Amino acid sequence: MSVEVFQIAGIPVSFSSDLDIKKLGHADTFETYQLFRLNLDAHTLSLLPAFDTLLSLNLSRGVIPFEHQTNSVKKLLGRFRGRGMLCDEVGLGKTIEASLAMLELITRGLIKRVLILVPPSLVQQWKEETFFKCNLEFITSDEKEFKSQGSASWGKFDRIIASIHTAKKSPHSDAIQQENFDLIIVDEAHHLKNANTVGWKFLNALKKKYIFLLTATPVQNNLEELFNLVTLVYPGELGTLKSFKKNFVSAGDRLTPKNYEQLRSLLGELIIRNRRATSDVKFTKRYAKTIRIQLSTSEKELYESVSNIVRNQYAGSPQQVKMALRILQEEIGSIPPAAVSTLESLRDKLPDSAAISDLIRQCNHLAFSEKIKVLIDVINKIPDKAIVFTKFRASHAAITTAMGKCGIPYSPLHGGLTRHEKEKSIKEFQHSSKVLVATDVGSEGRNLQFCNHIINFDLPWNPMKIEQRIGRISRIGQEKEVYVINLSAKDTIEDYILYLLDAKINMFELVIGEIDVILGRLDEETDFDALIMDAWTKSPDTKQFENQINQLGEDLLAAKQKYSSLKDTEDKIFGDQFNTAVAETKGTEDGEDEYRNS
Amino acid sequence: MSTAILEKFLIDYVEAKEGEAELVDAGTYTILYGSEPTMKTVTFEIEAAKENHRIELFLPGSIFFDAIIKDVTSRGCVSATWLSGFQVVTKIIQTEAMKTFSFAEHGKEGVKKREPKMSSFQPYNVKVWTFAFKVRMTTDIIEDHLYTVSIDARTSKILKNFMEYLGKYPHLPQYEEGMPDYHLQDFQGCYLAALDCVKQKLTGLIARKKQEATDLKNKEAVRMKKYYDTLNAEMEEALEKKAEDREAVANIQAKQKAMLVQRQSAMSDIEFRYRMGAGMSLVSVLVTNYPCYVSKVSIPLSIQTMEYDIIWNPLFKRLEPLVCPACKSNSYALNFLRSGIRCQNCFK
Repeated sequence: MSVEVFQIAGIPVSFSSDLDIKKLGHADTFETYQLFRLNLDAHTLSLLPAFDTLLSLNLSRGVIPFEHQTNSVKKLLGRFRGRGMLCDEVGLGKTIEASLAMLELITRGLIKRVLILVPPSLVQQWKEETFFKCNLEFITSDEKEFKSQGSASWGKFDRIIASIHTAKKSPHSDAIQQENFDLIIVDEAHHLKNANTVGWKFLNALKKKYIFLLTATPVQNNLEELFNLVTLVYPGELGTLKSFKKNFVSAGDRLTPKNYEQLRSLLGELIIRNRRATSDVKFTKRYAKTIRIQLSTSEKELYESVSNIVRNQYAGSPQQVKMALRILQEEIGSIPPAAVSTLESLRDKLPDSAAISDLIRQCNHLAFSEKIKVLIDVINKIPDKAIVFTKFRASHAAITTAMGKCGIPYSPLHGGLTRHEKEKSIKEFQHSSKVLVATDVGSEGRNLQFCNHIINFDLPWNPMKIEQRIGRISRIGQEKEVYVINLSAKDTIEDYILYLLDAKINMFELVIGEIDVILGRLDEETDFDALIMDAWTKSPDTKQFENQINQLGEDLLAAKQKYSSLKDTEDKIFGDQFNTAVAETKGTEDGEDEYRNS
Repeated sequence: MSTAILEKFLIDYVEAKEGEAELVDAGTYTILYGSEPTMKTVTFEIEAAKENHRIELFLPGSIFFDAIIKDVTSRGCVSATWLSGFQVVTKIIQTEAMKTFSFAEHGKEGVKKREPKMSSFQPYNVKVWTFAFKVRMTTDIIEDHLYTVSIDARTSKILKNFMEYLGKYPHLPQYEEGMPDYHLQDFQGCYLAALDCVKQKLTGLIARKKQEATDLKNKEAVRMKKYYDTLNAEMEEALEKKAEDREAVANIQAKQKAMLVQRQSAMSDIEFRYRMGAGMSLVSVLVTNYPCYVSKVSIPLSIQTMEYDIIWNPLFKRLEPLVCPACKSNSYALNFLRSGIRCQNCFK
């Protein structure tokens, strides 16, 4: 190989070649044009162009990003050099932007080790999104394989998704701080708004080359929060806290900035904020309807018996039994046969095994429940295709059996199917069957926007999971209005959850992503489903549970109102200046002879 | 499909190996290639590869993808092609040439048009050298460029957009009939012209990137300096206020010390991050052969007869202009004066 160095614009450029230039002019053996072309294509595929050409777009799956999203990625990586805050309003796809930016850095070989820190409720969603959309496999800190190796796992795996609540705690925090991560992504970063918290200090101490903070609400209570978040990305960009307060915070009002222009100009170097009003994303309307079902006397008695066991046994039980009791409560809220296997597993762990055996017998006996009858009735009235969602395989089996008996053409989708079977089932649903009966696990990563009706046969207690179900059809590409029909048996936990989410805060008509922000304001540390379970098991009777639910409802409403008023404040601070809806890209001057793969 | 570029590349690869690729599932192909045929199932879907370990994943970073890139980039580095499929009717070119070129003699009696004597057009082989250069620039990010420069071996001049023409004609492994080469220049001259061309392109690009990196570095350095200066001043102020409190003073001093270490590390990190480097390599060369049709033309003047080669270039579908010996510009009209030969341009 020949190597020489020459100076161009004051920079030494090393020039090398495996080819013997002196002999080239007299070469008598040549390879074909086809091989030459392939050679160029291979070089192009392994080329790292400037960030105005995104390689990730060719490698992502099923992602057709909006202009504001590709521009955000280009800006985040090009102008911000991989360190910035993605503060788009909810529903504009911050996750897609961050995922594409990550994929871009991975593809270019600029990063290897990635840590994604998210609230616990989003861990699975991130795993799903990165896997299905970016073809990237992450391990989550909840997985057995990860847990089995203890703290060493943080150094062993290159791509990790972890709950920030887990990560910031000892011994994990110490282990993570020992590691060098190339990229850290923090979703719902507003949880780190306070510099005095363990979370903020933990993230600040991490060694990272690139960092993306994602939040739709960078300011919640005061401007100091914004300062704290910015400091995590670019320490010193807004000065010291003291100088920031002096220069940018109005006296007596910690939420109102002064020196707007100067502040905006500084923030413009690290914040991207797209707004729905100015983006090219159009959302179709969404309507929700709840059908409250009167259970038969025997079903009602069964529900109460199971609930009593849960209430009585929950408090003193070991963690594993607690988890089983929680699942049992959810299962009995779905349909009696769904509870059978959990009851069987609990038979030897709870005091009165004979009573449990009796419950098992009753559950098996009530396979064709009132709820299934209503479901069949609802499906028959829908003129279009519909997706029936259930949490449990046993409920799935009961629903499909009933549909088979009633002659309703359906396609099944659940976690027990192979990828090929799932694809086949979805194609069949798209082209011939009327109903897709899906479990949450089975529908992971699937885009089903060719359908616009969802029936929630049972309801996940975690609103984020409800949102994920809706998100399967109410997403970019949906052209029709979306209808969500919820089935709930009267006086069950699901009935109360629906009261809170639908009647109280109108969740089913919120933009995807908004519920998370509202719930974040409700309680930062505890998940909504845990709050519900806590209220249920600590209430000796329905009346007291109702009181707790009413209080939770008021808190939720207050959180929603606070969220709405906050949007006004953020508009004042950010305006439209941080939009990427207008392209900032420029073509290369040397494009003429620059080779591009055709 | 978004992985379309990769799919096309894989199929081209298999075809180059005289093999076959068959789509068996969405994003999954069965391929058969090689002299001792190898059969593989290849997918662009990570999910499919996970489900069945016999299926090879074909995405950047995967073992199979990297192996193919390595294989392909080690071949086709010095290649040659012979273009064919040109529809040339010499009589039509001849008529066209008679209409296109004009020759005039300027004498005492004024300007007289001179009719050229034109031999029939005969094919000659001409060559174009195409050089592919890969350039990598590094600062805190890496940026690559691949330049192809095509040089006409007759003139050592750059042919712009030449690569586009290569896709328009069939390629042969060689011409069946022997065809004489037409006035080839020294290879070294062609190569140096190509290298010079890329260097010129890089001058602007490197200067821009260098400026960008310097600006970013300076900006960050100024910000960091200001930040730590302010922080230090605030600590000094605190020290003054708490001068009596020994414990507080010790505490602040410890923080100051830690801050100084942080500052040094931050500043050296900035310096390191924006250091610029550049490298360039010649990755492949292609010789393109194609026929040009040449007619020997003689122009009878009062004192002497001038001779020229008129060339029909079938690739660009045009008659090539002659070069004015006075101003060196291209022209289809030459004027013969006593003082020398001039084109229309010379009179402007």
